Amino acid sequence: MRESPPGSREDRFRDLHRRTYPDLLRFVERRVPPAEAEDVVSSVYLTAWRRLADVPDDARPWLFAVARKTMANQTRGLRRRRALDVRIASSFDELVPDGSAEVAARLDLARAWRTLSAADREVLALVAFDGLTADQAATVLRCRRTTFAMRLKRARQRLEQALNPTPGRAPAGVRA
Amino acid sequence: MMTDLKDLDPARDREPSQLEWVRSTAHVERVIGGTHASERSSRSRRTIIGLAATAAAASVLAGIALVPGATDEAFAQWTPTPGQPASDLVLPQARACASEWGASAPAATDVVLAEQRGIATILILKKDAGLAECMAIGEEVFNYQLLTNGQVEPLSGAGVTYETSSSSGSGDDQYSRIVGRKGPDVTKVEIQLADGRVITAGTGSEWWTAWWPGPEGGEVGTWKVVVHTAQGSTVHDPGELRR
Repeated sequence: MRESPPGSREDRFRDLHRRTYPDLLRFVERRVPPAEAEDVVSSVYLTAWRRLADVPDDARPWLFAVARKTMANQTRGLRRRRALDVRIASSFDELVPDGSAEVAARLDLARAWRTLSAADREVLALVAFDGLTADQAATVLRCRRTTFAMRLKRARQRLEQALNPTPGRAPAGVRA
Repeated sequence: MMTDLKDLDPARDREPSQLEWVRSTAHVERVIGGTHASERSSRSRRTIIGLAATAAAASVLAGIALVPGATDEAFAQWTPTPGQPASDLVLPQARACASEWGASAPAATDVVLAEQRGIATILILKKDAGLAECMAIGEEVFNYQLLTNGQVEPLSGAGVTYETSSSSGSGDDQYSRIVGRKGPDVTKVEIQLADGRVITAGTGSEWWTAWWPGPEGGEVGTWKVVVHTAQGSTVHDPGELRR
């Protein structure tokens, strides 16, 4: 590591990396295959270095927002896949009913999750997976806190509805 | 309900490995130093002469030597199966590599892996408490990268990882490099390209490496890894071997 004065721009950047790398890697790996995550993370830190003056003290949401944009650009530009989406643990792909209530509940949860739109999944994942507050999640999505809170409430409702469908009411469908 | 959702998290217990920390920290240092290259998946590459440009994901990049015309010669003499010279036969290249990072002359026992394809030699050498990979054309060092700065837990059985992949150069000068690790039961590692080419990796100790003319190492979906053991062969997408 090169020497630089204490408190320098370089040191601030290194400290940012030390504090945020595991969280940023997890955030990205929730949304793209692991083999692609490292490139995205590298790109985010390159942006952070160039715009270090813009990085707030609570850096994670800012970095996550840059990562979302990077991933969206990558999926559009390079691989032309479907829209950016949150993955779920691969262990759920291998789950088979075994008669137990626990496995049945996990299967129901995975099924319900898959009925949600990508936008709903993102809102829920920011809180449940990434551990962000509503304020932080709003920063990631670049919307107002109140807007995020409303989206979160509706996403929860749709998940609840998918888990416990009300007779006579249309099931939650896949939304664009 | 939100608590239950945590069960779905694909990265719930995910922590970066030591190697990932090394790679990411090295990237940060390259960014600070202004020597970072394009991202692995990007097709836009620097136009520095031939093999001198590197986009290696792993490491501190240093010791670039520009050798006009070397790319053509290296490509012309490239072979899909490498020679694996004895360690004492690559001491000139090892010395050149060590001098790039300011170390004293290495001994043959410091060479963990040596592979040659024509005039290009890739070495994996002990560097301080860790390992570095170094590529030389003749005895000119083109670049090197830090692989690990300490001991790494060995892989067991037929386990295989790939630690870095990259492509460098531009246009017809593009070439790819891959470095990975392997367990003791692995007898051979091959890279299978989408155009049908098959490249045998050089192996040594628990490491494997290969380079070839072409951009695939910086791309997604254009190459696979074939792992051979005494029991047979398995084909893997790189993503399966990433950690």
